[in-house]
Amino acid sequence: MLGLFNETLPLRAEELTASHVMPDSTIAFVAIEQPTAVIATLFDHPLITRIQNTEGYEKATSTDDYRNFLTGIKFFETQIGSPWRPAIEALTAKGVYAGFDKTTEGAVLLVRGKDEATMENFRVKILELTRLNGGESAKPKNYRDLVTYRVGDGGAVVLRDWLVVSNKGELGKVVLDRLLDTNAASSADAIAGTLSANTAFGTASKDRDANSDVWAFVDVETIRDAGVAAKALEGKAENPLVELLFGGIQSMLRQTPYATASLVLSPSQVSAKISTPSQADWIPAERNYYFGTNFSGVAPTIPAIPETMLTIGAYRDISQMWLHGSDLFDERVNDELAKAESGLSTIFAGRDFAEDILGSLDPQIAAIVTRQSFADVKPTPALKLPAFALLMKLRDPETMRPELRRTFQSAVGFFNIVGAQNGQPQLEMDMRKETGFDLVTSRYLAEKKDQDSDTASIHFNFSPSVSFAGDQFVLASTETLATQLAQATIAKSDATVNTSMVLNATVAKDVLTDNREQLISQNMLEEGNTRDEAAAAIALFLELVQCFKGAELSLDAQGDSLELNMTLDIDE
Amino acid sequence: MNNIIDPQWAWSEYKANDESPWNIRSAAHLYRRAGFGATHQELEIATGKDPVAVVDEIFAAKEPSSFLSEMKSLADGAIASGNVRQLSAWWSYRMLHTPAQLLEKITLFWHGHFATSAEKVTQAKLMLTQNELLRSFAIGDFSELVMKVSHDPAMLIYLDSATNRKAHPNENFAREIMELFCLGEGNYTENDIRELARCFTGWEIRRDEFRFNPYQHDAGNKIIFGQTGEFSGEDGVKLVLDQKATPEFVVSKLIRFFVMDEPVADEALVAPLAKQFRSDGMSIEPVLKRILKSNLFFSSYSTGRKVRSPVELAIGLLRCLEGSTNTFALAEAMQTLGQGLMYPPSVKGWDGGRTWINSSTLLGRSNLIRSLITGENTRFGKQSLQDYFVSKKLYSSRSIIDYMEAVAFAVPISNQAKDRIELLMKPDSQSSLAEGFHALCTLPEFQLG
Repeated sequence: MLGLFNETLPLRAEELTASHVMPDSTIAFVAIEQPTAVIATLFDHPLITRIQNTEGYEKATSTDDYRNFLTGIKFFETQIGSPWRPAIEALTAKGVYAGFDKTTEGAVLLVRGKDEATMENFRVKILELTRLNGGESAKPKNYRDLVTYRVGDGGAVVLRDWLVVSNKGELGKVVLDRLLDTNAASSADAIAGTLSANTAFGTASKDRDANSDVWAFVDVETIRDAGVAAKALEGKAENPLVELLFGGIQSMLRQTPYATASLVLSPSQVSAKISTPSQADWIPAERNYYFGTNFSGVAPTIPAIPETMLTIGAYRDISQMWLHGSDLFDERVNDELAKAESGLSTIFAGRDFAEDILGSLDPQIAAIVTRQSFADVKPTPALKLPAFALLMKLRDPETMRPELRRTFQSAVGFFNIVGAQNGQPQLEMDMRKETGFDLVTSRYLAEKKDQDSDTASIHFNFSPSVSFAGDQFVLASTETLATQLAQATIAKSDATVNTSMVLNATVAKDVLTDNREQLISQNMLEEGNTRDEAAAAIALFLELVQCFKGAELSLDAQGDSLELNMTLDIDE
Repeated sequence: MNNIIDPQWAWSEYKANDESPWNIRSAAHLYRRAGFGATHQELEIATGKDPVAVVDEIFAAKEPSSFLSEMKSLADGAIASGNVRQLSAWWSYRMLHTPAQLLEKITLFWHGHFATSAEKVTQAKLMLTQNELLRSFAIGDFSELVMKVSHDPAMLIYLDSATNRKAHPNENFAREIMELFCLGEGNYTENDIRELARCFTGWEIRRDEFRFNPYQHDAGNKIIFGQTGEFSGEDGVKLVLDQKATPEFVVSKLIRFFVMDEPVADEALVAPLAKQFRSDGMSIEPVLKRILKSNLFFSSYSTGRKVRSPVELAIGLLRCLEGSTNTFALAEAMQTLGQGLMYPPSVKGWDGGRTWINSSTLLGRSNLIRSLITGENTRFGKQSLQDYFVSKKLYSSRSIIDYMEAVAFAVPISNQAKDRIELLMKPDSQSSLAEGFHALCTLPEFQLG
């Protein structure tokens, strides 16, 4: 459907596809080949019934606004003589396509319906509807014996089983000419000057996933040459976290010719992929911290811990990122890094923070967030936060262990002094050797009168701890998590992704439920709702969260393309 | 207007008369001053009753246990977050929704009187404890209130009096209890301050609680207000409370807050209430009731004779139209206008009166009104402003203006102003209605309460 044909034979009208009629200066292209399937996936999904049975949905659909919306739909259906869904399905039966053209700076929408009769019927009904609504009347004009309807600079026309809508007349004419001129000697002649003949588009189309419900192509090179997003692409990072997350992608976008995106919808999953060609020599030296040399950097395997809500694993050589700060960051960030480095070097007894301390860490870093159980914990904080930890590997554990242990002790002392000045609880430290690992822990001490409290302060979510197991170093917000990670077995993995993120929606929902009262209070104060209204709103929110099982995101730089994959798993 | 007011007439119980009739406007005046305003329906019900009985009802209004439980839950959420700004939002919510409006209004009064700011007392728990203390004694025994506030950790931390040592008595609290809380300027000497400060030595805040450290207390003889004795801190507070100036000072402030910004109540006007206050054992409720039931309160000396504070402006507008909104944004907006709940600008609280109005606050008040009307979280009777007026069968702009004049305006709106607003306000268009309504609520007349 995207232009696979015999070049020597003439191209018949019914063989024409959207890419055959859009100009080769099209810099963005989106295709929904089977809209009927997409509509079915969305509107026949079991989730719809679940949502419709919620109290929140009942309330939302009993408002005047919704009733007015339904009245509008009914009116539309009466006018077109059909329920909306079959009408839309017939109108879009053979696909919906959109494009943006650089030459005319115009956008075009191509809708291919079931057949010519369907499109003609649609044209008549829409004209009638527009007239009844007293809308701006489209001026009919003749173009090559076709009746086109001009509105401002753009317009619309129905030709055979195609509906063509554009906001720029010139672009509309180019597309119409292609649709009308089907008498070229060969297909190659027919597609010359069209998007199908665009080399980058052709290459991208070949790699397209046949199962994708929505597919998009973007001519990044042309956009880049036009100076669009120059600052984002060329500028230095203003935020270290943004650099850590997107720095490598920015380097790629500076060089890549194009990018594609695809979306696959199924009842149990929504998955999206964004892909762009990649080459190792496109990555400057200062960004090798991100991918590793020749894209060799791989995210670590993260151990399975009960009640894990979120894991993030990535290959990032933070030491190299810090050392190349002057190449990567703007002046302000560099000043902040310099100040931080000075302070941190003092805390680490004069060692160079970037080279000695960060440099002692292996680039494979993981973060993990887990739900905490407060069942047997007193005092219990009113706001129940999840626990979180960073997992790292030490390049030289024998040297770094005592260093990190001492630094942790200093940090606890510092927190206690600052805490005492602000009337906050104090941390008590402990150290122990377990089989296979060492633990250094701290926990907040409650006043006697608060020891059985169920509404303790936020501090009681934390028992900052570090654990050392072989070359593994864990910095955790709780002793429990530090212990779990130290004891966990890490399975070998063949994964080759550079960055991965996994979210468990079921656990996330449990964390939110743990804090239901807080969420209700927040809703009351933010929305001005009564308690009952707030409780209903939060119940609906939790119900919606429960509709999802989880989400995953991965960045894969192996091979000759950079791929960002995202999946959302739905609880049918 | 004659600035010499006959005290006997002033504090006699009000009876409706031609000059000061009991109608929707005077009922609205009562509810604005004794709370933050009332809906048209509430005002209509009130006009069917005797005004004095309505005052009694206002005093008798209680918060049901379900409401108290909700408020506790909301406050706990603010404490859990450690965010005092959330506490400001909580209090805004409480003011909007409480059935005991007078209690909140006078708690606000005491918050300005015993000013303590979260800029310095950053712990939400301490600020909440003080707020609840003020509410508990709001219309109770003033002596007990002062005694409790004297031991309040938030107050002592705010006044840098968390420690007070024998060798170097801290005079801050001694000065403020005399100058700002009980006596006013000119009713004590510097020596009284120094000696009173000695009484408070040994008073400390440790682990957020008041404690008395006998080792740091100066137990020697002190001479305060001409009296000699080995006075403790509590004795010192009692000595201050026993001064003649105390009831006069407190009553003056109550008159200014509830009755009129100007003229300042003179000695003759204050005296009868001060006497009653003292004879009632410093109980606030009887004297406040007398104020709110008085001829003076319902007269033209009082009606429209106060500039609305930011809290009265915002909460008042919402209450009279059954409004609800994002209370975080509301609290922040009121703070921008100079009245941040939990954030009084200084130990003197808010000056009030004409100081609420200057060129920048006028613009700020206009912006506040606009944000309330157009805010996505703002609803009136759980619906849009347009739908609210339709539900009240107010279909024309004139009917809306007249409705608002009755429930929300302390002084009549001139016909020229009404004509101008009528041109702007087209009730069948949301945006036009909002524009017209904004213009209505930014009239100079609306700034008076």
